[in-house]
Amino acid sequence: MSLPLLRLPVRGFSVAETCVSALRRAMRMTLEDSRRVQNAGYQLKRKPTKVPIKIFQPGPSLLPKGSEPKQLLEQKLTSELDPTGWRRQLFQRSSPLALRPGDVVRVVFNSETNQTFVGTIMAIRRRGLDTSVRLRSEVAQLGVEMSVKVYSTSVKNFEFISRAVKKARRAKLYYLRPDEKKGK
Amino acid sequence: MIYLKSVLNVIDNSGAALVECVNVLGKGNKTAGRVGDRIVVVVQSIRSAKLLAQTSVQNRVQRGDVRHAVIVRTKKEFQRQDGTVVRFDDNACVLINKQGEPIGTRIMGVVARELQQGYAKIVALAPKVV
Repeated sequence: MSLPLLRLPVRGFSVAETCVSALRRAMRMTLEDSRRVQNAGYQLKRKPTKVPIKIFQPGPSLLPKGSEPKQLLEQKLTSELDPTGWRRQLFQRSSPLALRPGDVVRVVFNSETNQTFVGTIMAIRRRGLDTSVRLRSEVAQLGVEMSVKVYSTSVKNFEFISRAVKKARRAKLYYLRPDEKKGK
Repeated sequence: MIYLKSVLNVIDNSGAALVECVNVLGKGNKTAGRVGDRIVVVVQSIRSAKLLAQTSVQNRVQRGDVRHAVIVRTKKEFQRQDGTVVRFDDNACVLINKQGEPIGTRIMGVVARELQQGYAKIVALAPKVV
């Protein structure tokens, strides 16, 4: 709501207070005053303050009215990070090429050595552009888990290697981790 | 997260099998050690003689020795600049001398890529780097 500059001569208000809060406090007044306000509009006949309370007009809108900035940003970034749409194809639930927990996948990174990591998908964390996939693998007889951001520019490719032998009955396969208590 | 009393596997052929951390170097008080950090360790157990054949006698460690080591794997996940999060199934280290060079001549197992900064020799010796 845009209000014009008011010279609100109300005692005890700081410059930092907005017009609205000043008005609200000013509303706590006597019956006499309320009658005066009714007649005069918003002007109150009181001792004037030393500094006028500034009310600022809202700035020019950067986006067209009714648009949703978060959606627009997501669309813009998706077109930048995934122009061909292959990442969406792999990680969107509805896609026919969608990866599922239990599948074995190779991640190829954008490094000089084209570093790769092969692993079973333990979990797919779907958060739009922040989607990540957690892979588990046995590297030199040791379990290694890697959580890779799907839309990261450092990820060159996800190569599908094999489907899960049996469809996983869970979305998150944390049970693949070794049981710590069994050894003790 | 390696700190006082943490037990780590030793993945080189220096002779040690398990070490216990006594101090994390180069960090503030109560700051845990992560991959690539240097720690002071006490050797708790040693490996059999067959494995030590390649190490020179002067480099071999004994039980109770206090040495420096560098953390190469942690069970606590760590994050990289691109958002990748890595987690190993154990805590491991490689024994080093005061100059930062590994005491042993072989590394057995995986090490984290974070060691490239400062411990390039360990990365070069390691059979697998993640």
